[in-house]
Amino acid sequence: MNLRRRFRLWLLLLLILSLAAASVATFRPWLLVLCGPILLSSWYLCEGHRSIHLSRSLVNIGALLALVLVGLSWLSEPDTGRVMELLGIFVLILLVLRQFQERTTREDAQQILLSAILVISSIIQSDRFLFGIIVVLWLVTLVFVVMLFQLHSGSANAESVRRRSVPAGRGHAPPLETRFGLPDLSRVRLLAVFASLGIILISIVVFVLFPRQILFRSGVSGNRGEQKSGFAETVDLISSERITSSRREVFTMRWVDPGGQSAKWVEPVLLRGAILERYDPTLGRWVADPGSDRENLLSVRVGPSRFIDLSRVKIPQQIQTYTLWFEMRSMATDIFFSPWAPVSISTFDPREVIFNRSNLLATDSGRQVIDSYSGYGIRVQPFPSEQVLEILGGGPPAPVRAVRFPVPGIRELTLAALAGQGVDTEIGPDETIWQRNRRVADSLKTWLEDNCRYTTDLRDFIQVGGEDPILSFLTRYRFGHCEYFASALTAMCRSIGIESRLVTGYVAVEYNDVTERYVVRESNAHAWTEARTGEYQWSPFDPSPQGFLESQQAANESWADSWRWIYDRIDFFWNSAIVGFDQRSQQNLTERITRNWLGSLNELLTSISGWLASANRFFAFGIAGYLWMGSVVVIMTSFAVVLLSIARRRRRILRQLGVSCPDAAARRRLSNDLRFWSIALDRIAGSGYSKQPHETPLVFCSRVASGRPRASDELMMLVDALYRIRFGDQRLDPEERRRILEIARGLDLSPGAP
Amino acid sequence: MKLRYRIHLPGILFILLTVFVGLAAAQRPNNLVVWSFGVLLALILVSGVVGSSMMRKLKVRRPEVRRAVVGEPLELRYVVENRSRRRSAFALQVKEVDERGRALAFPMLAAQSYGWITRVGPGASQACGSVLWPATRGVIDLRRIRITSRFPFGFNDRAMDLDHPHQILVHPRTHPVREEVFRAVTTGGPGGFGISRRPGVGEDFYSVREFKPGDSIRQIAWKRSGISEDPLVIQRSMSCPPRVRVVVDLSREPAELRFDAGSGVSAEDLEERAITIAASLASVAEQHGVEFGLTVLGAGVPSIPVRRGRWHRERVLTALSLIDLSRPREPRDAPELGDEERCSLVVLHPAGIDPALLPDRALHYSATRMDQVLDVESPATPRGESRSPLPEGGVLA
Repeated sequence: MNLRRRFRLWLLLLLILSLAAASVATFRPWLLVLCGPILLSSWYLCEGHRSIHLSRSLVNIGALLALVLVGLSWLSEPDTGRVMELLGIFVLILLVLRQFQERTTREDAQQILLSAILVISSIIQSDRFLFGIIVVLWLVTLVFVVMLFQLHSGSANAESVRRRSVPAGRGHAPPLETRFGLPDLSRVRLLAVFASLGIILISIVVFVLFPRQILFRSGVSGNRGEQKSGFAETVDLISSERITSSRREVFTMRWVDPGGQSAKWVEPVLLRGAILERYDPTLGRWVADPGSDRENLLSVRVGPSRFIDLSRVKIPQQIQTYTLWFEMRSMATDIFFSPWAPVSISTFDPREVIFNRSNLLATDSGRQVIDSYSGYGIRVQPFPSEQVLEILGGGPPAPVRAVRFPVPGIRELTLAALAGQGVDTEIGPDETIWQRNRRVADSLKTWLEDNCRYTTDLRDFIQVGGEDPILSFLTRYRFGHCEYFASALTAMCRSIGIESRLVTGYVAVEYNDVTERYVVRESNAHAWTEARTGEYQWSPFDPSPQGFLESQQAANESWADSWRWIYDRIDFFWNSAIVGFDQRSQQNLTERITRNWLGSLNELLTSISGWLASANRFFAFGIAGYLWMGSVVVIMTSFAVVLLSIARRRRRILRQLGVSCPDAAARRRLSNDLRFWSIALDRIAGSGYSKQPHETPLVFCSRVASGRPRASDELMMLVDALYRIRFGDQRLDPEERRRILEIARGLDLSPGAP
Repeated sequence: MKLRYRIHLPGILFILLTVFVGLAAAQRPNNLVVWSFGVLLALILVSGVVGSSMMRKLKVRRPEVRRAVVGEPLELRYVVENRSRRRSAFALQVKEVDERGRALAFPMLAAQSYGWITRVGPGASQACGSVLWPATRGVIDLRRIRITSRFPFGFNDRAMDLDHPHQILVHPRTHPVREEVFRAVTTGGPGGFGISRRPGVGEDFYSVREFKPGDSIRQIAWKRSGISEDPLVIQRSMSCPPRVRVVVDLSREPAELRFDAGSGVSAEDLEERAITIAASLASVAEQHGVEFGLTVLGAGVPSIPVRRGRWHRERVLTALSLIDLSRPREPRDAPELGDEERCSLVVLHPAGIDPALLPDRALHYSATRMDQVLDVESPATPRGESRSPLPEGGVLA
């Protein structure tokens, strides 16, 4: 394969990688499925002996049509956020079309440029881990392709200049001598690998040092704002389309009872992440109340050694206090997910926790070390007493508010639903307002479970202009996912004066009996309702049909889930250390580097031991697991050392003999069969003779034999064997190889030998 | 040896792209954009480091080329040596530049290409060649060799100039001489054949000498032997090839030359054509073993005696190459040609034929009708006028 053809092949690979990057970035796998084979077919059609090409005029017309298409798309929905997406589409079409035309070196360069534009426009659209992997692969390929391009275009230009330099009527110039074989290619490849490593290292330094003004509130995994599979701090009912069933592990949770035993809780554990109290009917969006009173925020410094109470007064924790250990797997966030009601907290690394006493949510202050997202422990009391809640609240209870819901029609519908169940909204003679709230909320929850269908497919949920999505859900469609159910219940409660709020977070339902942990995945992102059922008490009401959630969870399980944690760990690192790297992380890293190295080493060892412990837990080997892992590490290291030494010895032998044949099998055979020559050269060098570059083996051995006549017979035998193997293509059987090796090792070259 | 850097359009565009991405990274909270900016910066840095390090250990030498011919490709060979122990050098352009680092001057060269090397391994040497097309005779003054590379990413040129002075003599272009002209020139002409002054195996009488054992009895000069007491044999002279002396008349200033100015040819062109005819005659004479000499009138070139052989041809061509047409012409005198030369005389006039010069025994040709002497389509032939065959014996003045 000549240089031009080799370059074109690698260019094709580069284009396919850029296409894959665009496909992953825009969540359009069909792009790769459709355009990938088209690009591959260009190799078959255009680069083979068929040499079928599109004419330039056709390509230009196609490009023009693509431009018109993109322009019309922009005019139909003029949004600056779509600029990169449309640019990417146009570039993609152009790139595919031009792949089928006959290209000059200049147009090859333009293909590389188009590929780069496509990837850069994708970078602006996505920060997913898979996309990151593809971009790194693309970068390494790009470096190699550009190097090949320089060689190819330089050669072609030199040839062209030589051809053009011939004055008119003067015949031909002498041909250009260009040589590019496999050794040259391997050198370029090696250089490309080293250059890529250098580029990645330098880019990491720039990445770390680049001045940042950004501060991520939470490094939620995936593409912020676009992905609906994970936890979100807002609920948007209008733009919601379909929740994907992502199996990515977000974190694991171990539920430890007061006796210290790991256990599974009797019902799905609702892990609170955000409290959404305000509903904007014009946007159909639930958001958090921004006006939190500063007096309600409690700051506590937490570390790995012990649990710190989330209050200024000691909380009685003897009864019904459970400990939950969270270990983050793929999500980097500063929110401490927790069930109602957390009483104390401990973290794997020193952190500062801000506890909101009004809604019992804990978040990180954002002033600690970079890897602070690794995990934490929380003690909760699922059934807290009024005293505990009072301590947690840190002050007098909030007054009872007269609430209402600003969407007309909800109240009537709620009353009708309750009437259908025979539930009275008034406070009974022997009940309190809180009991009434619980009774009514429970009835409404049951009504929703019975009358609405749970689905994640919202293609048929068409928003009607001017109609609130909650009203549409309750009256028109009666199907939707958890956000609709929770929104409906919250709205119904509020419409009849019951204080309620929407909660988003995760629901832990998947319990692994082997590791004794809950595995929480992206698909476990959930929303539910909390209604006020006491002066300090807010009770969760989950109107989503639980049976359906569990059956869907079971249906999505696959064998790949057992191994996903490996990918998820890397994904977690990607999200926490790269995507979520912000001003705070930068400062923390600086502090960490300037601290003493011993402390850093200890932290590293601690993290390694933690990683080993988690791996051991996964394989459930117990104490023997450490021995097993240690044995594996020792065996792998020994194996690597042996492999390296063999490769080094082979290289040395081949270098001594000047063998540079590209055939790997021939190199291997020669390095095995000619090992005796390397040994003999070492022994001869030990006796004061060194082979000069201009000397043939025979001349050299003759010179040595003249000074050491006793060894002359052995030397001549070795030379004879060398020539037969090296140039006579003779292969040695093991017996003969051993015999020659013994001769080489037994050479007697002492000066005193007669 | 200093590396010179020259950035060009792709490099400028790349830097602009880097700045643009840097601004985007500063404005947009997307860490992948920041990383992209880092990658772009790293590409520039790695390009500089890789490109510079591979150039620093390069040496180049140019095996000497002594002569070239106008209109024929002159291939200059270069041997590039990479003295680095580990690094290869890639994508090297090798070309000639003048002392200011510019491409060689074009009055002397019609065109120039450059040598190209894809890779020189560590500790290895690699040869390449560049092709020059000399446009006029004279001396090409080579001063410097420039090695340039854009490897690895093509952002900028890195050039290294190495002084390597050398001169190459460019001979006039030669064409085949028309057969009838050559026959007329070499059949003795008005001057007749010469006689060799050395003994040989020819037919002419050279001398009489004493008989030596081994001499043929047929060679005995019986009459002379009868006079003397010892037997004598006739010794023959070497066979004598035809002898030609070419006289190029450059004694008139170009302004004084009379020719059809409307033909689009200048006086200098006509003088060059006269030189070309002389060079062609010298070449064809050497090919056929004809002895030839050269006399250039008015240009201060010493007369070259009539000899033969390749070395002699080189001498004649060198003399023709070095004629400086820009110098003032010397007054014309009739050339002093010894009678003992006994050679054909061919007088080449740039423009009109002047029979006053060597009127008795010379063949006169005009450069305005070069096509009548040489086997080439003369650009000076007026339109519509076909080339007429020259009668045997040439044009006598």
